[in-house]
Amino acid sequence: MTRIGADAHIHSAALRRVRSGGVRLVMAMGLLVTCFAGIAAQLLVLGLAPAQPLRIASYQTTIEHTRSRPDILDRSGRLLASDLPVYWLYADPSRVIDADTAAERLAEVLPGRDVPALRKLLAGEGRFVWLHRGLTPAQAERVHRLGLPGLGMFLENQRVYPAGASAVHVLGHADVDNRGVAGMEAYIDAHPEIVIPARGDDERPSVRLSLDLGVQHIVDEELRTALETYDALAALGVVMDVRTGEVLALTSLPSYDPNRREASLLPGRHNRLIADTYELGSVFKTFTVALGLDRDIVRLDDRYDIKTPLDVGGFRLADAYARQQYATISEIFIRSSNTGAARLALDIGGYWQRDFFSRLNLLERATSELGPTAQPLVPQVWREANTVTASYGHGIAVAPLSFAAAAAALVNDGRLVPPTFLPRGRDAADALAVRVLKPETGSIIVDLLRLNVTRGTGRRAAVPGYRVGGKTGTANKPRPGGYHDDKVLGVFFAAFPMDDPQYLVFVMLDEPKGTHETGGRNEAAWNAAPSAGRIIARAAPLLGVAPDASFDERSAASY
Amino acid sequence: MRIVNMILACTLVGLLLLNYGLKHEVREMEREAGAKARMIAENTAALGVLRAELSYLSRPERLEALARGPLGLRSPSPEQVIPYGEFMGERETGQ
Repeated sequence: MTRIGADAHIHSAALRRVRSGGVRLVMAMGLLVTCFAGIAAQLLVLGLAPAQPLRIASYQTTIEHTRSRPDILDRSGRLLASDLPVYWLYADPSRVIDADTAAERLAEVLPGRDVPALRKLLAGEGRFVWLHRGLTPAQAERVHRLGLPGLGMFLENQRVYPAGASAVHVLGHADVDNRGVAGMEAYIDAHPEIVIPARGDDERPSVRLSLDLGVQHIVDEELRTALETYDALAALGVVMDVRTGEVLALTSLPSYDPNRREASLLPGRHNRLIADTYELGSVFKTFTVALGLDRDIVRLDDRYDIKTPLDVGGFRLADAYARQQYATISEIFIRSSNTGAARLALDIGGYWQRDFFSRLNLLERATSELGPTAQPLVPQVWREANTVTASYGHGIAVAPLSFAAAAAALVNDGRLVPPTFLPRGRDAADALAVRVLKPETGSIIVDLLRLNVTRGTGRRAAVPGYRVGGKTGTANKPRPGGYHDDKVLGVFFAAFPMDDPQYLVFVMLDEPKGTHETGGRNEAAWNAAPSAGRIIARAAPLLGVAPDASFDERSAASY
Repeated sequence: MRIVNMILACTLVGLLLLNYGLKHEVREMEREAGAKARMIAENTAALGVLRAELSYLSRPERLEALARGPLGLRSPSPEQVIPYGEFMGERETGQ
């Protein structure tokens, strides 16, 4: 090998080393650039990608299935219905590892669930079964801590009614999906415009009713007492503002607790004031007398024969306890004479009687937020016999709420205002009012109602100082082909204070029995009237009606 | 030209880091806001429960039982009720 050849060999080797070092450098650089590019790309992704919300698979914390309902408040803002968050527990049986153990452990936590039923659900074939709807947060936490696979929970709304059965027939109730299915709950769903929006985070949307929870409680309790005392089948009551038509309390017993809505399906738990019609008896004499006076057919001191039986339409009508041959209109009213009312009605005429009932909205269904009342049972052809029986409240059956609204018109200067369960001002009521009597006739009826409580059949409804007026009605209950002799409805409607009537109280007892205290009597004067009196004695102070003992003395002197 | 590229690259990396930091802070704040929103929701729910409990405990039926039972109270008679204005009038005239 020559020197030149050796140098060339060395140079070539060095060149190969340099070249291979350059390749390594490029590879290292490439690797570094790739790494940094990856980091930069990740930074870009992290920087630009939107944040993903956190989700907990088995413990859902947002309400997604049930709807949120507004609170329902009484006229003073007291809570009657609200939503509470509860947990609905479900299971996916295919993911449950040991159904026996799971059932035993769950039964210790779930209220009222037994092991066999739970085991059957957990060992089933499907992929989804409800285990319990309505767990409290504390119970849900205990289930969560069991750590059982295959279980899950939804957070949902449950409707609660803190006042229990009070006003249940006005409130109605919501179903398991929190949809209103009866009463005001159903009305709210159909009329969302009545919901007052929440004013802040700590408030809930609400609906205010015309009800007064205090008065409602008094009516509930007095009617429950009456139901037990007189061993009645049912007891109904309404308190209404006669000027605005606002219903302050409505009770239909037997009732149910809306927190256990399945009880609403038990027999007889419906709202009898709206869903039933009744022949209400002698309280209708108030309409007969009012119409006779309004049409100037009679004056208060005109007399009618009440002792001679009246034969009409194939039946004979007689007053069993008539003590005199002739009685004035006032006497007919306060002694509740059937023949007197019938003779007056015949003088008025069936056409005008029917017309008056029609104007009082007694011949058609009445509507309110709770829906239409039951269809009144009215004679198809208004014969003389119908005029006679309708004069004392037989042969015509109306919903008690319709009657209460019509009776309120008699003490509201003769102006009929439709009943409502929502707050209504005087101006709005005046705009809706329909005149059915002259104001002066209304004034005479007020005096007659007062007279009936001071001297007539309504004496047991008197409450010292609160100026009560009213009319009794004892109606024999109809049976196929006639009327029961011993089964009656005891009805009383009262208004107070009679120097300026503001409130109407209606009480009806279905088949009240005589007691030792009543001497075995079952007429309204012995049961419905004192019940109404007790309601007024307790409710009047709550309604801002102050007692006035001097009125009693003045009115006693004037009659 | 190489210096300009270097400066731009450094600026890009700096901006990316700044963006990342800001995003991280925003996420932290979102987490805090979420926690506070959850707390508000829980407290609102608790408030609803307390209101319902208050209504349950102050329902007239229960208050009446307490008033008539342990407290020995009874309904006022008409003679015991006088209008507020009348009461104040009597106080002012010293009667």
